[in-house]
Amino acid sequence: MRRLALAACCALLAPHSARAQRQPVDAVPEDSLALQAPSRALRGIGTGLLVNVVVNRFDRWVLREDFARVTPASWWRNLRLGWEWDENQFGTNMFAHPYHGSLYFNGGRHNGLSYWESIPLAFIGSWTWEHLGERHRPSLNDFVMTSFGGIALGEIFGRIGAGIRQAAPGTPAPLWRELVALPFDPIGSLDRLTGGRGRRTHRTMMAHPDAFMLRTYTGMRITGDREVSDSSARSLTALIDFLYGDPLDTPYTAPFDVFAIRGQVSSGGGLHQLRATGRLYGRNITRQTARHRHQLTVNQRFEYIDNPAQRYGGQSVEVGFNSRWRLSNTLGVRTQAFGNAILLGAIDAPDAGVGERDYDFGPGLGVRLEGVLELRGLPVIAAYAQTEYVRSVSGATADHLAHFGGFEFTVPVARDFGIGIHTGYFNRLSRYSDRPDQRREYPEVRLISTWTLGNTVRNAP
Amino acid sequence: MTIRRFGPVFLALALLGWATGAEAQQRQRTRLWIELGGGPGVGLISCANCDRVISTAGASSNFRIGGVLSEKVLLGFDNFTFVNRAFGLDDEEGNIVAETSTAALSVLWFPGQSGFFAKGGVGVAYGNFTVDAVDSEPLVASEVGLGLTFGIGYDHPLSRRLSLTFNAGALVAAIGDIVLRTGRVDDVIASLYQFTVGITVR
Repeated sequence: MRRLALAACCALLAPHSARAQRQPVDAVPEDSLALQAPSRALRGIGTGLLVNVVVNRFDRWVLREDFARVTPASWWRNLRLGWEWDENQFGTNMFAHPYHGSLYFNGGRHNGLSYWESIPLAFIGSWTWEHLGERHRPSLNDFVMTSFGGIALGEIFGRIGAGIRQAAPGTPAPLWRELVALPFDPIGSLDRLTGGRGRRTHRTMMAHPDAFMLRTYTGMRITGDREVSDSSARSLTALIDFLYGDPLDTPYTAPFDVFAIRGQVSSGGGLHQLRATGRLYGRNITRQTARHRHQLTVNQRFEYIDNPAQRYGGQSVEVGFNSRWRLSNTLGVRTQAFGNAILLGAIDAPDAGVGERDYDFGPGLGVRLEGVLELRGLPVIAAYAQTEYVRSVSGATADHLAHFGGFEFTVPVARDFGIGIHTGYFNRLSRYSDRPDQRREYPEVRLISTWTLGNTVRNAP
Repeated sequence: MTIRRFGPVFLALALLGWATGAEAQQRQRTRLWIELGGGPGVGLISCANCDRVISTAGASSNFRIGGVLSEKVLLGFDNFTFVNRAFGLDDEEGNIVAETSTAALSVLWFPGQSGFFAKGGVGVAYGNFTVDAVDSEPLVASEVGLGLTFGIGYDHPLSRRLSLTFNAGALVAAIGDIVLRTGRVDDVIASLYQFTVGITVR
């Protein structure tokens, strides 16, 4: 079973070939460079507009949605009246819209545009949808979440899609790989189905790092809600960490050449954590061979957290340091210290929101600290803490402070297998201008088994 | 900065630019560059549960400084301001001077070899509303929030280090609640559509 899972993981996510694995980190095979066709910006923009037309017509003709009944009069009204905040559900605003935005962004990436060049396409696609694709007045929060979230998810999902297909530009991928990659990267699949076969996909999206890791945690989750007496509850939980590249070992070549995803689902609660961090820029401030390594890093972050203490989501950019401290040949410590600006965050609270919406929107600031003791490249003890401040500009007149923290202890039993105990702590403090403060805490404990899959683990310290 | 005051200057520079532009090099923004411009703007102010959207014209200006990320992509820092003296957030309020300002980190994308570019950015917005009153001190309401900017532009070279820059863009300032004498105005969003002409120096 273990070998089967490992083989499946390697088959899905491994770089194109053994040859690719021996190449420099994030290098691109020469043949794919030779096949790289010129970029087509207008076609990239057109792809986003086509997505809007298809989605609008599907909503109108198939789902019979009234909001999709657009006319020139509705377009003019939307242009004349301008932005408002909408009252959509949390999951719609914080996940569905970013996924929609990833289609616009990847319209650029699969037409030869770089990460930076594809950013305007996410904005153009989102702006045109908000003004021309719906009868509703354009929603500012949708515009921000679709654009910025679409950039983050688009780049991550596009790279995952390329890793699943394992097809060099111009060559077909097996059908089953295309089907698995489809939900991650529909635009890439469309490009391949319509004859493009990835010839114009930007080379950085086709590149893969030497090292990536998929680590699964499964077990029991015990939670408590301090607002409710006898609220202790047990559920089954599964948590996944996917690390693509290594912040210190993968030289910076392009945005998102290193990224990390953490997702968690539990019985009865569904998805209640999805956090993604992608490196936008990295600069080593110590030598590659130094005993202790430090790197100045700029990351883009996407976060979605859902538990009784807080539903929090947001798009942010963080700046800070990734460090690795070598203690011995097998033992080391990794640390991260980052400060971030929240471009737009969303957080719920009992008195938050407006109309049917029960959460606030606002920009903010935050800090994140993390320390991991590693044994032969595998984490044994991890501690992390994060605080986010959100100033509401839509909803209640409030300032929200959200804290997340945790301590994770894992005992390696075999090379890829371990058992452990994790604790997590969620806390929210909401300060209102016209009513008492409101606080809520939500601790959890996880008893888990871990399974580390992938073709390589991160380099030992 | 008003159109009446600087309009003739911009017009003269525009004509001069077209006369000399053919001989100048196309890429104007290399390494460090600075852009300063001004022009008319149309402002919209909307709020939650408001019956209507207020729109009015005013003067706007922009200052941008930045560097180069790649051959086609630039990173800049934008500052926009917009002033209007006749806003009426509430019918019962008096004359209102509305000032919005946004400081944003922007990406400029030059898709081709010409000077045409698209831009987008995000940053901090500041809104200041001064309400005149006959029998009391003016009321000043200020808020800080989310600022966005996006639009298109064109660099027309005048010389090796100078270009004339045309911008058509939108600036959105989401500044939250504004407290006036007659009550709280919820979830204010100020949108500015501006058309500016300026000078870019590198």
